[in-house]
Amino acid sequence: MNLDKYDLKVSQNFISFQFVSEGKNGKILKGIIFTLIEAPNIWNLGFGDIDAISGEISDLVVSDNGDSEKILATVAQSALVFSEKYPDALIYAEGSTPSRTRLYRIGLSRNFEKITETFMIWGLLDDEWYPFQKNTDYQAFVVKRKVDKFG
Amino acid sequence: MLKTIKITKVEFDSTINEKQKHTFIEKKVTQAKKTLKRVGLPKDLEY
Repeated sequence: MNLDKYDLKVSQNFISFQFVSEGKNGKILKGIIFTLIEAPNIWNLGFGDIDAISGEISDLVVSDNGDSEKILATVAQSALVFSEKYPDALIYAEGSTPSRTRLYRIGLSRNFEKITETFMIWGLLDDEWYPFQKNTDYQAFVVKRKVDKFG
Repeated sequence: MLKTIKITKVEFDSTINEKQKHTFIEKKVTQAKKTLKRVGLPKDLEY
C-alpha cells in the first residue's frame, strides 16, 4: 500500500523535517525532530504543529485537519529518510497523550505490511516490549531499520 | 496511485523558534528517558 504523503523539507543533518498539512482547517505547518537520547543510537521522534507566527512547536495541539492518514504516512516517510542517514538508529516514539499514541498505533497498524518491509517495530505494553501487533494499545514504540541486504 | 514526494534539503531550520524548539525537545527527551530508564529496550535490541 502506498499512501499519499506531503512533500518534506529536511535539514542538512537529516534530523529536522517540516511539511505543510492541507485540510479542512487550512494549511498547518508541521515539524518532526529526531533527538539523540542516548549515544550512540537511541533517538526520540518528536512531532508537532509549528505556529507560523511565534515559531512555537507543540505536540498538544489538535489541528483536526482531516488528513491524519496522510500526516502519519509523511511522519513514517521522515523516519525512512532519517534512518537511511542513521541506519543503526533505534527510534523511540511516544505520543504526548494516550489519544495521540493511539493515533500512532493506528497509523502503524494500517501501514504495517509496508513499514515492516523496512523496519522492525516493538510496542510497549504494561512496561514490557513486544514485537508490534496490530490493534494492540501500546504506550510507546521503538522502530529500527532492518539491515540492508545489499548494504 | 503512487506519488513521488519531494524531499528538499534546507540550509537551516529558520521557521521554528529556537528557544521553543529547545523546550519542546527537552520535554520529549525527558519523557522518553524516563520511560526507557524504567523499562529498558526490547531485549533483542539491548547492547
